[in-house]
Amino acid sequence: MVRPLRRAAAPALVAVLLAGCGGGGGPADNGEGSRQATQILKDTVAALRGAEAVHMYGSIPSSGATFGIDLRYNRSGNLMGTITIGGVTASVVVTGGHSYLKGRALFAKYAGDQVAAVIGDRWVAVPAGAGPGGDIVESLSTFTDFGKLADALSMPSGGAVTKGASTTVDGRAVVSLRDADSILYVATTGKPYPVEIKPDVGSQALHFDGWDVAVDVSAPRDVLDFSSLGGATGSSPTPSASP
Amino acid sequence: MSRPAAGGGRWVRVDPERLAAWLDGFTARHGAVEWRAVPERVEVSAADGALAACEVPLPPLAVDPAAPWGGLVAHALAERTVGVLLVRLGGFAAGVFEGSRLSASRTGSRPVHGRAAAGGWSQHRFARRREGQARTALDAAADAAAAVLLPAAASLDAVVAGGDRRAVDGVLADPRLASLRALLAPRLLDVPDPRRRVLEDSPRLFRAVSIRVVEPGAEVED
Repeated sequence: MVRPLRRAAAPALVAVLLAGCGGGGGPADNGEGSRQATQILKDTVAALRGAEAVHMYGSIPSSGATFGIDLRYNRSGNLMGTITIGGVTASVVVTGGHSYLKGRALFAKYAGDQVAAVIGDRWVAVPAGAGPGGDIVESLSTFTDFGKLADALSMPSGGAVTKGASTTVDGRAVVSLRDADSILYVATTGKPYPVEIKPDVGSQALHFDGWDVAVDVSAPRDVLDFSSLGGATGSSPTPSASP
Repeated sequence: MSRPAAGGGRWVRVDPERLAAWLDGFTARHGAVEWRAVPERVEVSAADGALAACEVPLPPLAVDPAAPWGGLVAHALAERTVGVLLVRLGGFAAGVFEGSRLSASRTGSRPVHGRAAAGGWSQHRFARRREGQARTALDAAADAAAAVLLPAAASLDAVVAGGDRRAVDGVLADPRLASLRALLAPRLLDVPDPRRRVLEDSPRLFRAVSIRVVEPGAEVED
């Protein structure tokens, strides 16, 4: 049974509801929805170049395989999260110029069962750009460097960019931009950051949220050095020493 | 707003009909170029350091050293009969394309429930039920592939699969489809739930040339 509201409580409830409808809490309209396509793209690229931090997740094409990523990172180059490649997932941390991976299945797949058995479920320090793990982390730099990401977004495929409809993506008000093979959704409230980019055909989408929310990354403890396992280079190293 | 590429640069997808003009435009923007072709890839390097790594659609490319770009444009433009099999858990589509024209097809779906919350007997019961539903769905997809693709098998130049890798492998493990496995293209198409519209759009994916473009001065990771 529903009890009627008391007379004194009703006006207060109405006031709360009205305040909730007034748009007081969310970020303000940034005007991008009414701008030309090329201007929206310029504003997005400029916002990206000045960004402090982001949470990026989704899947990205790579030669012959698909990367799944779920990463938080900041403009200092520090990042944390997970990567999935070839169906196996690993945790990744990059901080202070050092890269760390944890994922027995990933090492089993790309460095061999022997290496994976030695590593187990511990964190491994991987050398930048070399060997299984290091090359994977290195290949993420396009996404974890705001300048490189901005460079890629600034060049429309096919040369032309057109503006589409305003809509909502991941709960954010956005305007869409299209080029010859991609769709970019740009926030129309707050800073004009990307909310999602995806191919016009297919399902590999990259999502962005948590823009400028601080990302604190610390180096893991109890770390193995991958080079001590004889795996500084090559794709199937053989462990030469136990940790 | 091109999509960034793992390892540096960005990805563009170029239809075969646009490919010659795209490569000419790349040359005009970046100066003298050299190309190196292998059956799976053609890499075009410019004097200013720019790189366009073109993934051969429906490889292998029969590299012709005397032809522009090793024969990539002619390879991409070639009219082919292609079987397409798209599978995700619960949905499937099979079709035969002559060029970009869909000449035979079947699409369908079977319900496969989501995972149950962890814990207890009900979790195991749900898992068994889900496993049974998944098997039924894959069997239905295999039936569709057999009905649509096998009658055309003798004329197929290639078979292209798309969707979920494990689901596709599960379907192609059906003994009836052994002759199709030999024709399977290496790249798995990235597609959402396989509805008829998705099937109809698939030539835009399997005919197109994916090109990783790296601008001068950028760092490249293979």
